[in-house]
Amino acid sequence: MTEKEEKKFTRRTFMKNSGITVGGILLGWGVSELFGDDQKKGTSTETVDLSHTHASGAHASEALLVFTLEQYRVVEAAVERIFPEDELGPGAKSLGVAVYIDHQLNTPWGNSSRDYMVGPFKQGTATQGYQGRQTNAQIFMMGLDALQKYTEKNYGDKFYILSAEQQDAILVDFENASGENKVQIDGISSSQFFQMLHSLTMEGLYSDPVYGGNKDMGGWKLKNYPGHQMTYVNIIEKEEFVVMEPTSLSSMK
Amino acid sequence: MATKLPSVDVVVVGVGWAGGIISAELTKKGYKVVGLERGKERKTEDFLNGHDELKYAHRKELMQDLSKDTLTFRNKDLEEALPMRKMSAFSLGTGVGGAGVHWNGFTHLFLDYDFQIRTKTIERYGESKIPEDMTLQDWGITEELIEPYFKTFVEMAGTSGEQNPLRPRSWDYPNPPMKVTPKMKRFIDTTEEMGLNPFISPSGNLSQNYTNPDGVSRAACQYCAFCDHFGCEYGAKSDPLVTVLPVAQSTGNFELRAHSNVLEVLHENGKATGVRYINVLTGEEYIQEARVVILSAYTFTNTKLLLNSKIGTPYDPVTQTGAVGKNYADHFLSMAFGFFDDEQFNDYAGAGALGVSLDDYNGDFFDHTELDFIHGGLISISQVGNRPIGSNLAPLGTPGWGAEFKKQSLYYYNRQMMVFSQTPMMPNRYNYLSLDPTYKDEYGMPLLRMTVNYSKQENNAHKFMTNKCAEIMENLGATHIMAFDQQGDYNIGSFVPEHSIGGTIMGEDPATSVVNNYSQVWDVNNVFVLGASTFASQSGVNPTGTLGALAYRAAEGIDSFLKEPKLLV
Ligand SMILES: Cc1cc2nc3c(=O)[nH]c(=O)nc-3n(C[C@H](O)[C@H](O)[C@H](O)COP(=O)(O)OP(=O)(O)OC[C@H]3O[C@@H](n4cnc5c(N)ncnc54)[C@H](O)[C@@H]3O)c2cc1C
Ligand code: SF4
Repeated sequence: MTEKEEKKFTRRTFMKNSGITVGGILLGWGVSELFGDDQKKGTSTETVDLSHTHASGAHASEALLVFTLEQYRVVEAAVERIFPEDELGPGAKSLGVAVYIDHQLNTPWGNSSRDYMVGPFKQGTATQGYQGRQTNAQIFMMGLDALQKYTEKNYGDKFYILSAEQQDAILVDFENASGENKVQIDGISSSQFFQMLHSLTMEGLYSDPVYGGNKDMGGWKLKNYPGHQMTYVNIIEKEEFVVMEPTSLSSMK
Repeated sequence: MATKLPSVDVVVVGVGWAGGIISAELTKKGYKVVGLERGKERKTEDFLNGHDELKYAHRKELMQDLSKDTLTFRNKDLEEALPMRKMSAFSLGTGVGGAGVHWNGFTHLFLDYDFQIRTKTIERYGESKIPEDMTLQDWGITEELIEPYFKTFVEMAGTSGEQNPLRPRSWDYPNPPMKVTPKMKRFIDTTEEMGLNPFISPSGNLSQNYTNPDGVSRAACQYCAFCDHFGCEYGAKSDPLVTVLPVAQSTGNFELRAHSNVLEVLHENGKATGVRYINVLTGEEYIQEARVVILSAYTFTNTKLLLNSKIGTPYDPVTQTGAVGKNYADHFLSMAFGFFDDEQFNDYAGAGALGVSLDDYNGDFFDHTELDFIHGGLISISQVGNRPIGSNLAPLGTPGWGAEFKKQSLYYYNRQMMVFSQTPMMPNRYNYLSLDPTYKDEYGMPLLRMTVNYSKQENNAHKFMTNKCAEIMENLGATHIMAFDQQGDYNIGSFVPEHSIGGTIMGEDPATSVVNNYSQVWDVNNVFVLGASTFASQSGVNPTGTLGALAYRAAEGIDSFLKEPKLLV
């Protein structure tokens, strides 16, 4: 390497390589999180609207299958901190992410029915992947329960009543990027729950509206993503950026 | 207990690309072939409603059901292997068509260097270039021998492409290359200016309507961006369902049995008599007798079936004897991300195998004299379509959640590029497949155990290739660049490319390999093993074109074996 190259090179950032797929698919994760980088968290001063209840006449498919109303409110508030409403547009709450999560917990994925769930269950090394005996839904519900208890104990109130800063502080503790292990949950780690909450939030924002999130394709609109289209043969070579009205799978019936 | 079924000429275990090619070729010659596939039947129509990122890319609808079969994993012999419980690292195919239904379609071919890698490395650098633990060996096949089968494969598949300047072929791809997007154009111009040799990636997405030599007609790709992990609703993606399988069906000599999971190969006195399988829906067991047994059930099942059936000698890393399970390897990605503050790309559009590649740092196209590794990797840029759940990348320093994450991940969604190299692991004495002593599949058979880690070879190659990717990214003019040059241990919980090779390797010597270059098992001559499990070493490119070519060669061998059963030479 020449000296000039070397100099250029030091301006680049090098990190540990994990979790990336060919073709640019990142599995539901901001890259800085993915690589375990320690950074400061968002600190918006916005507070949560307590008076919010769904207008009667919400669509039948928005009914809850798993959460109690109380749990639903906690999840709604938590995902809103991950992806808050701001001047750029709607956040996870109004895009229906909590309904999405509720519904996902009641699917084959929630039941881990396509995972290998046979014992003996043993503690693995860092490279052996998930080795617990809990299903995805169980992990989520255990984490959610812990979130509620941790909030009560340390803040003496319900998660969705706290200020945005307080909510963020709790989520930071669960995320555990610092490695301080402030939250102990029997059988799972708090960061495992946080990661699941994060992936589910990305899914709820950007999956087809048929799954209950991405309300009115609002998540896609934020990214100028056209959703399901039959062909891009006419735009694939275009130099200029083309914004298209999104369509969802419901157009295929 | 198991019901015995009437004997046929050939039983094929696993009906993906390899199983599909062999079934088409042998039924065309008039042999009666039964195909046993553990997954369900599929057809193009199934994918009409298929532009669903959650279902296919994240819930992996088309992939193996791990509750039925998985593998166990550890980094080294001293550790206890534990099962891969969730589909994180691998996306293993299942169902008729196998992973050929949900692949991208990049149809790069292995390099001349690869087939004689030991000989050629020693010729150029001397024997000392090969570290003690690198179990590098030739494949027992030469470039001249395999070249015509490459041509057969690309013509059947309808591969769209142009000549690779560093390795022109004696034949042309049957279809012109894919359309060139602004990103691709920029990569071509930039790398040419750097003195490199880019070419449009050979693609299994048809660039135009095409009728192949078997008379199968298919429509052109629509750049719909739901390709890898998805099935193609147009039949534009080269896939066994729309190429070789209809040909096999049309002969009247092919019987395809879905939901049929093969448990073992039955054999006595050095000769296979058939296979035992279970109908996974009814639980009924059957014995299918056949004159020839073909294993084309991907790297893991191929190796597992030989070990569970006690065919061949299991590889032992301590004594370095035996060959079944030897030389397991995969790819890893070396890459650089670039963020472009002032430009937007139509990244929601794309196709599975749309991209540009260059071989300048692959194989032995560059001098390794001063380098502490061999081989290298194909460097590419691709435009497969950025899907919104999976793509939330922002420059380094952006928090992983909250308002700033939202802002940056939205802003950069259509303002990024990735330059990457598929860097191969080289064979290593301690990277191998064996049977797990503890864990079993749903049918009571021991799971396959993978013992694998990176060595100095991989770490050094990764650093080098990452640098090359970052250098290109710099020249492409990215505002922010991120690259990842440290590797860590092989991790089953995070992504590794789905290119598992080895376990039933091809070679010249029965003591150090499992099959000859007709894919015929040395020890039990009427068993043939097809797929990347026969690769003796990994290359810097994707595997399918090469395993397809070897399947065509095997078809010739099996035809002559059925006429006169003997070891093929
Ligand atoms: C997302 C993705 C993208 C890819 N992109 C590319 C690419 O761009 N280029 C490239 O070259 N390669 C690519 N690959 C790899 C490519 O898909 C494989 O190399 C190829 O499909 C392997 O073909 P095969 O026939 O050997 O195995 P498979 O396609 O895996 O077929 C094996 C079949 O055997 C069946 N089977 C397994 N066990 C049993 C059993 N016990 N009994 C009965 N049946 C059984 C399976 O269900 C399966 O259908 C990609 C893979 C993935 C997952
Ligand atoms: S990108 Fe092309 S080949 Fe791939 S699924 Fe879409 S239309 Fe088919």
